[in-house]
Amino acid sequence: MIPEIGHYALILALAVSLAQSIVPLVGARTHDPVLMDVGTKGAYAQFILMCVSFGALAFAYGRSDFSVASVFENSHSLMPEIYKFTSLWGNHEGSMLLWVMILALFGALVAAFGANIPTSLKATVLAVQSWIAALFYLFILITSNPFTRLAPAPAQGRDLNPILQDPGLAIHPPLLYVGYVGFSISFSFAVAALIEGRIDAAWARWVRPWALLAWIFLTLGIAMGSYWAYYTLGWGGWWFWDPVENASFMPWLAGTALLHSALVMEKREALKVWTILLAILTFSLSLIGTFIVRSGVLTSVHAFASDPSRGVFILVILLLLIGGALALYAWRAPSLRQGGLFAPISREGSLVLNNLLLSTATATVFVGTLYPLALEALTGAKISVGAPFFNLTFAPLFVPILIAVPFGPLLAWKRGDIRAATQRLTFAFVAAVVGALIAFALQGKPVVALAAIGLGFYVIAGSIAELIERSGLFRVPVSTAFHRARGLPRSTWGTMFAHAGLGLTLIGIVCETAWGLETIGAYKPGATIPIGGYELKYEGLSPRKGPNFTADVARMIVLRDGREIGVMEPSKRAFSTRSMNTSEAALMTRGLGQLYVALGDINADKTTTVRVYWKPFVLLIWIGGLAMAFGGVLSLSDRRLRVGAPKMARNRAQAERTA
Amino acid sequence: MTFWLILSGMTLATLAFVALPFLTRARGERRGDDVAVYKDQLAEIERDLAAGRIAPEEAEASRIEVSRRLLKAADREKAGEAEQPAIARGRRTAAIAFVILALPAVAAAFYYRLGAPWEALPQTTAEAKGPGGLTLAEMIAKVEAHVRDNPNDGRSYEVLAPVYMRLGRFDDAIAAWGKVIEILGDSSIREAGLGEALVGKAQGDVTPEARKVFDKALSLDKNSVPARYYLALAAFQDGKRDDARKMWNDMLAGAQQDAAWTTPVRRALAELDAQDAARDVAKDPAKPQAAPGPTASDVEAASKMDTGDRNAFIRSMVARLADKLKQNGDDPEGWARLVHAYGVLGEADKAQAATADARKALGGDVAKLVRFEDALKAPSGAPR
Repeated sequence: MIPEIGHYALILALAVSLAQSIVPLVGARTHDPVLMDVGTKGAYAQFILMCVSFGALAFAYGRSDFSVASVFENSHSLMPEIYKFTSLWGNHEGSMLLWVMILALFGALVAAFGANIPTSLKATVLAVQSWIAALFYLFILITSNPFTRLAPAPAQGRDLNPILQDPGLAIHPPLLYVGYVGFSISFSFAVAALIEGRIDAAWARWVRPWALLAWIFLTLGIAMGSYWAYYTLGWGGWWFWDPVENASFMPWLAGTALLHSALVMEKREALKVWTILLAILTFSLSLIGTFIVRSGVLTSVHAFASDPSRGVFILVILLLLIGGALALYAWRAPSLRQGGLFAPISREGSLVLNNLLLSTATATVFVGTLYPLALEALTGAKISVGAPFFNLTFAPLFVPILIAVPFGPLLAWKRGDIRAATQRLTFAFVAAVVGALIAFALQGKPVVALAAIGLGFYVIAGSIAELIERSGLFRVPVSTAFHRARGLPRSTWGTMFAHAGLGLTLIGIVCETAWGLETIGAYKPGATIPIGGYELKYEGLSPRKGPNFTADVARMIVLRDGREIGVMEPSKRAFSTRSMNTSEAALMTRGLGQLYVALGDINADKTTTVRVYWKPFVLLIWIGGLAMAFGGVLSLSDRRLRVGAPKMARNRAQAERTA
Repeated sequence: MTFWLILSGMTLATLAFVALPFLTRARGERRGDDVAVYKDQLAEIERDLAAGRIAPEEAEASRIEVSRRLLKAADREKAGEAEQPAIARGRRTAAIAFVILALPAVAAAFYYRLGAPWEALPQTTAEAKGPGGLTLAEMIAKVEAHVRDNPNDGRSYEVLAPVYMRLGRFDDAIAAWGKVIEILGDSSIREAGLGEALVGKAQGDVTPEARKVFDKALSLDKNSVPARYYLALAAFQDGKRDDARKMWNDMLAGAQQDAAWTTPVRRALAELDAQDAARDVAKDPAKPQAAPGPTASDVEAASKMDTGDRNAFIRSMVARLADKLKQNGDDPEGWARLVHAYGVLGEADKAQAATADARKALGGDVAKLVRFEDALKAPSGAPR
């Protein structure tokens, strides 16, 4: 009975979303507060209904109720409880339910925290949000219903894809989806502004926190996904320029641009029209991300949903939402009031530069990801655009961004002084040289890597520059500087962390790619594998039994300078239900680097193919991501209102003070 | 009955909640409040100044900036205040009627179309009790415990093997059949059972090992249905299409028309015919279509498709193979199969790329590299 109740709750949510798509909009046009309030109530109702629906499906998964088709296909009664639950979204149908669940959550959040948004704007936003919801409810109910029943119920399920039987599945998709779906709020705000034909001061104050929230989750989701791929796929790579990864990276790039342009808009009321366009594009890219993963146009590591027939429906959704929003933009944007002027060299100017570069980078990834698809669709020719393309195009675009990053916060609003900014960054340049020299002393060549390390140090030092500048460190007594630094707005700290995170990630990437070590070979028990100052003694294989798999576990004793420092146990698991094998890598963290061991084939004569990697400073890649997200959290927690005012021309300020 | 009451209750509660604004007294509309925002901002500047967070000259500049915006906003607001239209009662009534009628109607229509209310009865799940008050898992566990204590009880293995088979635990099924044959001696049925388990493990591929087993089953009973069926499938997978056709037809010829096992045989034959038809249509009739070696279920699925779908299907199978190899490149024969498949589909570039990928993936292991190169030289569709 429970699954049927969940199914009906989903259907009711669709019915509510249809009402919420129309009634509040009519209310906003006719200034009828009663009709507008239907939007708020509808948003709450959708959220409650989705909780019921999601809860019912979770219950079915928890109880291994194989009369529900999606449970039968993706679960097994012997799986550990945590995977029983996570397999809910480890498949297409369930993950779409998670998607709309989060969408409903965001709708309810707007309804709850939107008390001080102008009523008509709020009603319009909630109506637009409901259009998206209605389309997705329909999509789920018609093409991918997680509540489809099987009669008679099978005795046992088909098990979850073994690659997905990992704690990573518990964290990665929800984070990513909160990121994707969170951008729907800025989209709805943008479309609502276009419908209303005006942008209030409240608009910018509202969009930025939502975009920031989505961005934080997307950052964490991508970092988590990258780490998951790193330890689970067994070849030690952390980023493959896989279309599915690109699909999450594109909204991240566009979202980053959106954050910065919304900043200009909030403080200076400039770049309004551009910000609206970015808000539309960011969510569009999120939708395309969903589309790429779901439609089966691309089969890749994330192959858990491959069904082209659904693609047509998603194409219709894309066409309606993206096409509709862009058409509305073309029609209404010219009538929007433009705001403040600024000189090219100014905080605004630097943010425009940031936006240009980020948009170009987004476009590059977009072309690299979708061009092969388009070409195949049109001519049937299959080409593959791989890492070389992205490394060649993306890297040159990101170098200027990284060089420009520390300048931004040091320039004043409206008109800035690039000379003064450069002077203040002197110590960042020094840090770059020192960093490169340290790397040279420790590792030597290649020169490109040294330059990149220098760039990383420069970005980190440059990010701290604003803090030093504003706290007066080195100019005033340390205690005063400390006191001032503590009094600085949290958003300043947030900026520092986020920008420094970029530098950390860069250093991690360079160290890992330039100086990582790798050994592959077939070894007999008793063999010793040397790598980067460590020695791994292979002691042999032993069988082990898991809940729904059997494993061959290899035991490796790790020695450093002849002293035992630990044991690593990589294994191969065999899942009988799906007749699949997975290789579980073993990781040992040493400082910021990691030893990584994965098993290949185990031969009849007991020799085992073993891949061993030493990855120096590899953890910095994800620590950088965490720092970026932490910066976002700090900035989000800063509830101050922000005004960007120019520094007064010096002589005028002095004149006023003497007067 | 309870079930329908719950659904009605949910509908009514939702309706009441969404229609709540119509029943309570309306609050006034909150208009664009730029003025409030700017006033807040001014207060903020004063607070920052007092706390020493911004310099006096900075505060002054900000104050001017905000005041400028404030004045403009106040002007706009004044202009806007004039238009406060009367609220049309009729429209409100129409809206409430729309919500109250449409919402349950949409819900009912969708649930009528999609729901399975008859399933809202108690379910038989894996936890359900069978005879003797045991769940299936418990029963299996009990028999398993029994054979652990009596490792020479061939009968128990013979009970377990088909159950493993049905649950898809092919490795366990293979082991169990092996035990049965070891203890109780071989019979055609037992050998065929082992063979089916081997095919299941190879995901539908009739491996050389499985063939040997089926040959044995056939030698024990020349009418063994599974052995004949799978040997025909093996011939089909080798590209010996006419042999396969003949073997299947022979099976049907000697069969009672209503025997249940004829269905898969008929389906297999239909698939053969459909493929031949497709081959006549294809531009280059010299190329065999069935290169990647379909599994039994693939064959079953493909037989229900038309030509265009089938080509897409074959492509998707090749893509699946490519994908599998991308995740685990340690499979020389798989690589060779992929290269052949691309060749058959006329994608020379991809075939070349796959060859290069394979050499890279297998590079660490000379023996495998040799196996790959050998398999590559063999004609497509040769025994794997």
